[in-house]
Amino acid sequence: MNQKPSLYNKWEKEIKAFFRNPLGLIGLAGVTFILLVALCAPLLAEPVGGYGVFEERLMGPTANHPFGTDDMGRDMFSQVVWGARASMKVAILAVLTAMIIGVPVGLLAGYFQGFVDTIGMGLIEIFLTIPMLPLIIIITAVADTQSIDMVAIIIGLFSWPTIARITRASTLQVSSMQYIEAAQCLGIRTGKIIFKHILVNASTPVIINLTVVMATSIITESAISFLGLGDPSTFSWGKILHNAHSSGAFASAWWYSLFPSMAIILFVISFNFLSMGVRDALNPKITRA
Amino acid sequence: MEKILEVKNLKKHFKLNSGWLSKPCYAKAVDEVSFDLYRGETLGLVGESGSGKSTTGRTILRLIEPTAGSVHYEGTDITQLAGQDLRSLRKNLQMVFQDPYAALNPRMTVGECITEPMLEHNMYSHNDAVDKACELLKDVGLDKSYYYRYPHEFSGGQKQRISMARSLAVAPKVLVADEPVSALDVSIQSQIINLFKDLQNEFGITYLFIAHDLSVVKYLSDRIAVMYLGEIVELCDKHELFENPRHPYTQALISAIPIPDPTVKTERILLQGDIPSPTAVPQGCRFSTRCRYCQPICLEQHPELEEIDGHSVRCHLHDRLEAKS
Amino acid sequence: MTQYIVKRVFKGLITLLITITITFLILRLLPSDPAMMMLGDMFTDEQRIELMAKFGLDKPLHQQYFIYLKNLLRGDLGMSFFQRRPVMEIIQEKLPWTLLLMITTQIITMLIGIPLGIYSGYKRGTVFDQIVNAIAIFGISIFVPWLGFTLLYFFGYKLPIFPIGGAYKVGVPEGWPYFLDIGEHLVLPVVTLMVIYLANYVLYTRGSIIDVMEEDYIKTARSKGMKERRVLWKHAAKNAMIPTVTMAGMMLGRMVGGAVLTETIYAYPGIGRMIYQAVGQQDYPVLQGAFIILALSVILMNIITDIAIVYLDPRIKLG
Repeated sequence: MNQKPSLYNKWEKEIKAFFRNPLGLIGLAGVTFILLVALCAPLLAEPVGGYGVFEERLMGPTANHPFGTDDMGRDMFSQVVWGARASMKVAILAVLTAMIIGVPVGLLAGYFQGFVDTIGMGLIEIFLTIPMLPLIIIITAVADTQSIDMVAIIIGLFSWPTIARITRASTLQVSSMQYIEAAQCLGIRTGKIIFKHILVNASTPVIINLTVVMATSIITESAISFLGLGDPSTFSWGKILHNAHSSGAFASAWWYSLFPSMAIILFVISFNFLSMGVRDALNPKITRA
Repeated sequence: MEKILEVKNLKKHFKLNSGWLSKPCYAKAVDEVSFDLYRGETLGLVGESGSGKSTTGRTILRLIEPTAGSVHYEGTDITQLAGQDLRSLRKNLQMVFQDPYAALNPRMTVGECITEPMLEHNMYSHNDAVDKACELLKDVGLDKSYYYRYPHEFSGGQKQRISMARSLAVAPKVLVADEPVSALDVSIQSQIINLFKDLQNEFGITYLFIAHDLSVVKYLSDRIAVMYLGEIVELCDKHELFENPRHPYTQALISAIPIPDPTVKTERILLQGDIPSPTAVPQGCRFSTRCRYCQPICLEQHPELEEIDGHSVRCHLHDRLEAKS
Repeated sequence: MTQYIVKRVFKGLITLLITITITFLILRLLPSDPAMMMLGDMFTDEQRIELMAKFGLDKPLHQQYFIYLKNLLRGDLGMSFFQRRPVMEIIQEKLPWTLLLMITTQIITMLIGIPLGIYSGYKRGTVFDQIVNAIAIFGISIFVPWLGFTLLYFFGYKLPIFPIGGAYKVGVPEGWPYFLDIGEHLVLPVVTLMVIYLANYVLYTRGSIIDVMEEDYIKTARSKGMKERRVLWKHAAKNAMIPTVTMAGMMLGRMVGGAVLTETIYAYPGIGRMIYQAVGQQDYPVLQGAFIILALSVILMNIITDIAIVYLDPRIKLG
């Protein structure tokens, strides 16, 4: 008798397919890079805060300050590095929030259909109708959110409908498969059917979407910080750009806006590439080819 | 012989078009179906697509909820059971599905598929379940080394064997086979049919064998029921059916079976038209729109299932027709 | 068909009602007393009492709700704290600018993006396609403020071809010079917005065409000897358009709110900038009013899109 298959064996085909795809690998490299920077932030640079050295303000890139300084004399390099940490935190927190709400809603709506589905879809549609950025702007303004974690959670709270909708569509498809009927026939408990049989098989589109949500949550958070809302003390990339804009220095100090912007773009592109790599790897038409 | 399953007046009507502003219409997939299943026998259930045979099988097992009627298993009315009682009962009544590719969870190993129901019903400890699963793999003709493989590594016929092993895991007394060989290559079909026979001999399971092909059913069945548009139109012993078919529809079906002898002239009875939609069931006899013997009474009055010497027929003209053999 | 339209409109109305309710509730979650918030030191005592009565701020919550609804039906979105004039008036001033910006952007991006996406998907795998795909992915990842900044820097400062902000210059005479002036001011904001929308259209249409081209009916059309061009435009494009129409509807719906960042950067006097300023001024009635207008436009576009889609693909209304 063979050995019991590991997690790798289960997904072996897909993992191999993923590693053959340059797009996905680039994305993975980018994400890993940013993750490492975020984790190693304390090793790479001093934590940012307070006021910098007045004489050193608005200096271009030098050996001492590879990314230059901002209008208060603070080192840009540290800001961007610590910004990576803030951004990863936001992305992860937002995605977790969205998943915790979205996945169960999608599963239940898709499996039970009928009344449960009507309520679920109704909720989803309402949230999808409401334009997210303006609403988040209003909420962060009204609730006077001072912490970046709260911003992340709010972003997650408005991202769950997308995940729920995809989970539901996937669940509907899987629920109509005969092996689900077989599980019901064999007397397997409903909870087990949903969270074991259906979830595992319905999860592939959801996983793709997770990476996309991580990318969009950073865009949203950057937008919010750029507009001056959210956490005043945390140096997220959007916040750095806000400082650039409000200090009026962006016209003269090109390094002030370039580096944080590049960081954001790198982050988003990496996640987008990663999601495309994952999507192609999980697509049966392509992997079997 | 002892009755193990009694189906009485089973109905399944599907409601379509449930808009607020439109009239509801019903698809009468299964309409007043009654029959008994005797312990240890094989009852073949045949009919074309749309006859309601698969729906009947699913409704009996409560995979689809019946609209009306009752199903008694060993005396208990299973249509009234719920929750834990229903789950326990499921051990006794199992189904083998038509599409071997869709019937197995692609992310579960063969062994997991088979042991899952055993563990779910607390039938064995984990180690015993693994042993039992290996035994079952042997019974269906597969090597026990397949335990840790995934379904996609197997052919259609092998997948069907795995499905059967899974159904047998809970030691069912009644097995409903929903066109289990229709999706397989013809050469594999006979292997699987023989497997059904062997398993029945070994475990004494009662079969309800659903198929659209009479020749498949001929080998396995003891009795055969013919369904048309949601109703049973003929029910009798296998030999009796082929020697003395009384319903015009059955006669047409039998005449369509190819005979592998080029010298024998077959007189095919060709049916006119198509099977009507279950939403617009004809008045009177449901077969009247295609029957070559149709009389005025067939259009007006709906015939009942009448039994004569163990041979049931639903036709006004059954005693006036000559059987073609 | 009529039944479908009725059902769809009804669903839209319910969504609108719920959105309005949510807006109402959010702004009652204000940390401090709304009366004090609103009235502060901006109004005299008599005005204060008058306004409190008008908005029923002294009454219990559910009564406030009905007064709110009543006012909404009359088109009364409340009074701006900061500017001391009706919110509706402010919106009526700003909305046309945003619509001008967005509609111009949408038309251009649709005209370029959809054919580009179709052709790129059709030529899947070729160098042309790979380049288009890569650029499009880059495009959706662009951070709007950065793009806005960069464009402003290069074309507003370094080479002052375009004006650096606003929608128009004061004092330009009526007629042709006026339109030219507006057009000049539109260029940079439109280009900034275009990038993301274009990228979206291209990617979406491309993906859609790729999926459709794999379908069997395309193979059938080809094997019938149909000219390749006809296969593409008659069969594939038409079916691939369906998800694109859905997305276009979504984008048009988000038109009104989608320009917040762009308008802020270019100091363009539209709804987006209005929202941004209102946040800074803590002008809650304006935020509330803006939000309702946004939601209304999205719901309206969704209804129109859903109905349009049924014409394209009759299967949908049965599904």
